[in-house]
Amino acid sequence: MKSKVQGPSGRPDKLPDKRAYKKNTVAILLLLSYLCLTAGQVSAKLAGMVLSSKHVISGIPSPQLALAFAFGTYFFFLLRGLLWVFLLRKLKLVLAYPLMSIGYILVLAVSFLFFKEPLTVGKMAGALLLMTGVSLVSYGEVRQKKAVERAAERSAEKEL
Amino acid sequence: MNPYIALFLMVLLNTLGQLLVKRGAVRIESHLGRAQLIRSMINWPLVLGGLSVIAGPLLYMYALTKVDLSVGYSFSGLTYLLVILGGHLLLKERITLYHVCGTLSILAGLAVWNMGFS
Repeated sequence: MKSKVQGPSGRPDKLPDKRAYKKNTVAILLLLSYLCLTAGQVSAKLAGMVLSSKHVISGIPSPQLALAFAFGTYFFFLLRGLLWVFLLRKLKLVLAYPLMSIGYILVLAVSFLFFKEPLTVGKMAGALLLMTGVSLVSYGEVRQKKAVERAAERSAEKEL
Repeated sequence: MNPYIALFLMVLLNTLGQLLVKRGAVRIESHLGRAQLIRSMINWPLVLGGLSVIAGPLLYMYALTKVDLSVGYSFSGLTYLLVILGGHLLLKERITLYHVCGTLSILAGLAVWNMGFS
């Protein structure tokens, strides 16, 4: 049985493999989250458009269409929430929040390309400011957690 | 209803939902069998949180009947502000300088985003 014998050279290769695997999962989770985010937003806007009696797809009665888009919105929102939970298991908070805030740019792009909404300098600058803000807040969360841990350690030392 | 009021309500419900679900999920007991699991899932923070999670998207879709998608989505930035405030007031979490600067940046971003500057 040749396949069961493990050569000594097989071991050192394993560690980088695992790391590459983890990186791939994070990348896939991120891509899926971005997809769910944009799909959910597009679906919500389409539902809104149908509800305000604009023609989106001709031939399908609007109550059914609105229901379908509303269902899609809930589906993608829920899926995104699940993906977020999984992402937080693989990625630190300080990285996860800024990476997800790229969604502001994505939604801006989608609303410009799909719905022909005006793309202004203000919106682009606003997206950058929002992303900066989200990053700062997530870093603040890390600092806050560390402060709580330090305080807990100190009180434990006092008890000893 | 004014679409902006709907957007503010949505942000409020999202924040409440997050805080309540966090609080309710801690009470779930899965080690005592299925009946106990279901019974522990029916606690008021989790039920209220679930309801606000359901109501949020409805308000969002209503608001999007009247405003652009890019305008509606920018308001999701307010969630961070409310989560920080809620965490501070309800869960006694500390606010750092980074929180303050981040919140100001988010608010400035929202203002710049919606004022235009074409």
